[in-house]
Amino acid sequence: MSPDSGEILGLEGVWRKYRRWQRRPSSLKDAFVRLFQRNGLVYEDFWALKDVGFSLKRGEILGICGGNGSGKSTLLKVIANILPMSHGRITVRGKIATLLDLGTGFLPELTGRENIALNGAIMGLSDAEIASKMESIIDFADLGTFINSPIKTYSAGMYMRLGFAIAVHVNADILLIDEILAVGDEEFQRKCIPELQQLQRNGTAMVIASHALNMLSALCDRVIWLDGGRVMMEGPPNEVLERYSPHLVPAND
Amino acid sequence: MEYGVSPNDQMLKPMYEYVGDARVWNSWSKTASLVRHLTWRSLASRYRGSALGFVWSLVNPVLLMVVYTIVFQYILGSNSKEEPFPVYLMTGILAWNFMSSAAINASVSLVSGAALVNKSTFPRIALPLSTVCANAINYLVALPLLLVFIFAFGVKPTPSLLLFPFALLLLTLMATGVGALLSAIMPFFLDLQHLIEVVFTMWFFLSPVVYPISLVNDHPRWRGLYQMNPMVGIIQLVHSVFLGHPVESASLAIAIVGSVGIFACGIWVFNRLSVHCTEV
Repeated sequence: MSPDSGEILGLEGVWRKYRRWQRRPSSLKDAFVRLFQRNGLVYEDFWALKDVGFSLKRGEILGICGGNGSGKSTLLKVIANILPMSHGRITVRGKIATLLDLGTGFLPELTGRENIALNGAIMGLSDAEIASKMESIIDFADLGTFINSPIKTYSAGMYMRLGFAIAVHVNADILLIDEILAVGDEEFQRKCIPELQQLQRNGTAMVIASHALNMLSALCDRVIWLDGGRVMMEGPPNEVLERYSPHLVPAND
Repeated sequence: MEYGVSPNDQMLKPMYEYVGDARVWNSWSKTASLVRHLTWRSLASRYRGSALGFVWSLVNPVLLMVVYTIVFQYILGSNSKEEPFPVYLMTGILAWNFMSSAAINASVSLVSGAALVNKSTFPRIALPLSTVCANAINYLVALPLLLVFIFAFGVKPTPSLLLFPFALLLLTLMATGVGALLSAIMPFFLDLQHLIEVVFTMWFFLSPVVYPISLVNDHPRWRGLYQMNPMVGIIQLVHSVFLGHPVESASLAIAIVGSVGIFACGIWVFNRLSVHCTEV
């Protein structure tokens, strides 16, 4: 499969509204009582994504930077159709896989091998596909004999290696990655970056949301800076990150 | 109000479009395969790590049977005419427990699977469906023991045993419908859980599980109303399968219409609501 230049993912005027209740009725009892109160059901609309649009080509890596609450995670969830959008149009021309969290759906009682099968099924692989990829996933995760032990015996690093190994083997056309690369240790990161670049050479497009600016500049072809749900700037990584970094506020501020 | 945050003409109607073969979940067989994996996951998590896992799932119906035998047969003096009362009780309790625990477990499936639902894209109906399947397997595994139990009390099996798949189908449709309906509402109103337990207890006593149906036949004024509960017909069918009782056609008709209707309604509501379950 040779990388062609066609658009594989297109977003146009995407808006996402959250309804922020002054006091959200979280229970039936609460909702019932509130019906009879003045101001009981007052809410305000909060827009987590405002008129976001971009287009992604096959084999392209798009980075998303922005502070906490800028809409990075919401954007990835909307693209993955985990969260419905309020307005907008999303056109998908390839299979999407998500890596929003490492080890989603892992079950501590099951062995590594069994969890690969379960996780593959959650990602939409057929049993035949899972079986054919099993050995290369195990090789990549490099867990030795631990692969046949329940994963409750794993260290955090092993857990992460297994999750990453599965995600890079699902043969998606578009991979959505949220902040997970910043979590691993240096050795893990050193292993991840070349692996993602290899995927890119094979034509997989990626959207990576991250706080780790050095990783974004190392991996991405293009970066979008989100602030308050709006695209502030879009362009080559160095230009965008240069403009964005003065806006980074120390965490204790 | 900020600039541009009220709906206007330029805002597009939400449209999520897959072009070509971009859809990952493109067939029923993939969803079925996911259901199979999730079913196995919930069975494994229940039974692995405890050799007595399966035995524990039988302790509850056996204890219930002992208590209800003492209360209903020896204290209240009710009895079934055709067979020993414990046999009647055990048959109904196992079937009821399947339906109720499947529906109740399924009702929290979206809430307890929130980590999965919030981080990956997959057909969410697989969560309640797999819960029902896991409970169905528990029920099926207990059946040989039920047959031994029935036989030990001297009750002979009849050809109506062949109707068991039909009874299982009705129980499953009912459990799936109720479970899917409740699971779709649950993320929005978490206190529904407490209400569900009470309602299921009421429903249990309004179905002929712990008393013979003849007890209700003695009260013609309430009989018509009582029969509107589709579980009356389903439990009667289960009694007929294992003990050869006759089934009333009216109860059976209500059971069929009721379980199919509740199934359809549950799936419809689930499809409408579960899209929004990540928003709360």
